[in-house]
Amino acid sequence: MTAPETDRLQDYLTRSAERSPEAIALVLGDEVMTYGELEAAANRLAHALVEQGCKPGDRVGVLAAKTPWTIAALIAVLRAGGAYVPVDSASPAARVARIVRAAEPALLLADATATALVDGLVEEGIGDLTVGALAEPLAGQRFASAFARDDLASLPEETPTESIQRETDLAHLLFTSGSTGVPKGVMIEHANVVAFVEWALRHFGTRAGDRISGHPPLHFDLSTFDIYATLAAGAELHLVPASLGLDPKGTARFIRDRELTQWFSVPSVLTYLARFDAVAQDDFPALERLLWCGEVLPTPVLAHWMRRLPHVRFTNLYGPTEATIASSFYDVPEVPPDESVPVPIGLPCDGERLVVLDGDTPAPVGGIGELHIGGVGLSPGYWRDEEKTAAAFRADPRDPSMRIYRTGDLARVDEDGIVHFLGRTDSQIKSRGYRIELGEIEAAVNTVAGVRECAVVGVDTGGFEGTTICCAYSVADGAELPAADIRKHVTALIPRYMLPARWEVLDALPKNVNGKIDRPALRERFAAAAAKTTAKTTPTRSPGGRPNAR
Amino acid sequence: MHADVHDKLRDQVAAVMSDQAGIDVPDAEADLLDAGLIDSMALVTLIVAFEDTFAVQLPLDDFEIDRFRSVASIADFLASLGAEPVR
Repeated sequence: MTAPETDRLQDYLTRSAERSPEAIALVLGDEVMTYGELEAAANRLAHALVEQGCKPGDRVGVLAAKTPWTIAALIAVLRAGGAYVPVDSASPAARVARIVRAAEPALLLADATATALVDGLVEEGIGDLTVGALAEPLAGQRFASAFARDDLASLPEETPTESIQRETDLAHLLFTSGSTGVPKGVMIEHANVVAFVEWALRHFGTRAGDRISGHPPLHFDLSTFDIYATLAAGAELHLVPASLGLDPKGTARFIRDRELTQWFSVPSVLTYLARFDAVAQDDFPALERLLWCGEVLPTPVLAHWMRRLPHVRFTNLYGPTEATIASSFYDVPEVPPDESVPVPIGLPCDGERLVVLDGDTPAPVGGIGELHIGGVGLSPGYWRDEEKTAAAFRADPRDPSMRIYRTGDLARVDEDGIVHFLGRTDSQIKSRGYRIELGEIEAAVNTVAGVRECAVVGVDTGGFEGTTICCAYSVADGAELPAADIRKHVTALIPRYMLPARWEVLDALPKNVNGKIDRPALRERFAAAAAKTTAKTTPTRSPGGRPNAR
Repeated sequence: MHADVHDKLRDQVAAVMSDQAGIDVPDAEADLLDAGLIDSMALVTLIVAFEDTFAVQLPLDDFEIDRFRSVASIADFLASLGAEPVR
């Protein structure tokens, strides 16, 4: 393992911009930004941040759609010596307000998609917000931007040198779902991301001619792989428009027409495209590799893709945000002969350690235990939350000088050292790649007047569908509360991807012998209803077959 | 199709969306995709619900997302497949 050429994420851009300033870096629709343009935009924006009082170590919130200028903004924050906090601008104001209160950003960078959200933040009682606009000036009902893109032209296009010498190690804070309803901020340092990017460049042989997909949203840590591996290689990053989210044929056309060489997304996208039979035999001739991460890709879906695209390399990546992007990989050697066997999560990436512990002792080969991760990707912990940090990060019992993170995932290691994922130990689920604490959804549903009791469960519909979020509830005596009303209320509290897809109102929730809500019984109840869905929409194995053939 | 039958089908499409997925549609012409009211998971749930309710089969391998843009376009699409209001 060679030492990386850089220990700062933003240096990847500078090096590639010096090598080939005219090369294309970022593409979204008709919008194209070269390496030279990206470098200049990031630097000018960094000067604007410094002028507005951003100091080394400060956090800067980024509330904007996934565009070339938003990526320039992320790098600008690093150039100004700060750490960025990417926030989903489609998230409700009440939730973003909790994130902003926790992160205490010196300022916000926003675009027009976030105008109502910033108004909402002011309404939630967050005052003194300085907002920089990434495009046109922003004027909400309760705020106006302090500067906009047009104001940047007069600023120097060189890096602000005064700040670069006093940078902190923190690169970004990524907020994930918390079980009590309060999002947790995972601290990620430059070195964490650099370590993964360097491994990935070697493992995949990423080069300047690559055309790489940018599918995950920017508040999701998988996007940092897309961005920084692309910039390191001097390749092209093709941002996938959000409008393609529901359009399987459009997504396939995007991969084909952009001649992408790498596709990386959460498994639900691959499942969705397979379900609608959007990928033809030997489609995407330019595609060299297809990677996924974030949740389990059902083996029948993987087999479908591998049969359709025999020229492509398929790699499963695994790892929680706390250990940065991914910690292990599995290159699938052949079309899985047995589609009932899950895909392994594989071997540790360079510098990572995967440890399966049974209590304090490493589990024997083949023994089940809780997966712990240590090594180069390990986050220093949760932002300003020692309690949660102490609960999740611990000393490695085999070597107390080393820290490890308790993933909450059950796993076993086989005789070849390959790690296999077996499920969760708690109530965290993955839906469409998003990591969701069911407790956060329950906390939101319980705020709705008229709800007597509620339980939210994740139902694995047995292969294709992934985990479906289901909510059962009962209402107070005399109250009438249709699911649509609850849904409307909780939409203001939790992001859309957390909204239950199925609802059921019951006279009373089932209880176990201890008087607690019987969640397994509820899961079975929803699973029985969902079984029908799966039976109908599993893809056929024959090429060109109708995926919904009965 | 008569106008009242047409309206009835639209109402029933909206009812399926509300009952099965908790999605309240403001009106039949509202753009469900732009409003972010349905995502991929909800869409898959709804396709099955429509098939069950109206006893038709939606051709998934010839899928065009614009057919799911509004309650009106869904109802038109279902009608083109032979769906009629139930009961």
